[in-house]
Amino acid sequence: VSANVLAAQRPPGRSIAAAEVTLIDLVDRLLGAGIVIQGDVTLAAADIDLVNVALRLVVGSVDSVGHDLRGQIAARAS
Amino acid sequence: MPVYLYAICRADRAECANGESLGERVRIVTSNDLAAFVSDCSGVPVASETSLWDHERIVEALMATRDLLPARFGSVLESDLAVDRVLADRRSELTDALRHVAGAVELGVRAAWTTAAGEHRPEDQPRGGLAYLRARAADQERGLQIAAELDRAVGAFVRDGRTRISAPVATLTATYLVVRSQIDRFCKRVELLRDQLPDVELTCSGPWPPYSFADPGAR
Repeated sequence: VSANVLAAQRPPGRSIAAAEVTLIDLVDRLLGAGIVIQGDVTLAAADIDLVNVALRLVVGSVDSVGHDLRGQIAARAS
Repeated sequence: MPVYLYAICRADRAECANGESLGERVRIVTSNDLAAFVSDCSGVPVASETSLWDHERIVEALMATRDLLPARFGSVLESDLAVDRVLADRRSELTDALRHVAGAVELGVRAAWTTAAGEHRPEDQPRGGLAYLRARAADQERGLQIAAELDRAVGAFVRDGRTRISAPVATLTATYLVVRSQIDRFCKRVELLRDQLPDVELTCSGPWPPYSFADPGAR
């Protein structure tokens, strides 16, 4: 099972790179969804700044980090 | 010792079968008929591409052989005892949520269309606030239309779904809970819709662990 299987099926020639879309989807889900455990037993949950992290990661992926990410995705898809 | 939480599943599905390996770090904490996959950690992890993919990779591997509720990235509890307490306290709602996601994965669809509010139209200059608001409303309206088309296209093949429209950038984010046997049909319907809506850029992602359908409190 890979989170990139469907993203990789996009027709070529579209403007947004599949890798970027996948990263945005990843950030949305891992930082914006999932079970949230809260209470006195929790040291940390859901207090990570979603918007700032998302911006940092996504902007990063467009520039320098993009290359690494696409490498990872290629590795995951194979 | 603090523990990092990856996912929760039924206790009778937690044990690994047929050579499945949890890796060196991940272990199981059981409480009654529920179990959690955790690893020892020193504190709250920093969110980076690498750490997010690490979390995702482990949850995806666990999901291959069992139904589970994936935890949000960065969920750190103070000890195994604390994990046990959470499983016991929320047993009823976690069990219901596990039933809801049973046999299903999460599939995402993003739609982007040419924005009316963001368009530069010299003939309209100067554009006042009213023109902008009208354009925003048009984007919102188009988003609702696309959401309706999407729901019509895939509705028969999904167990649950939610949609979010972002008018300022003219995008729609939809995510669906889809039984594994329906994934192909779901994808074909999105393909057909892509042909029917040439002005809309449609992108699928997944299969994901059911993050968007995991927290009973969020439903």
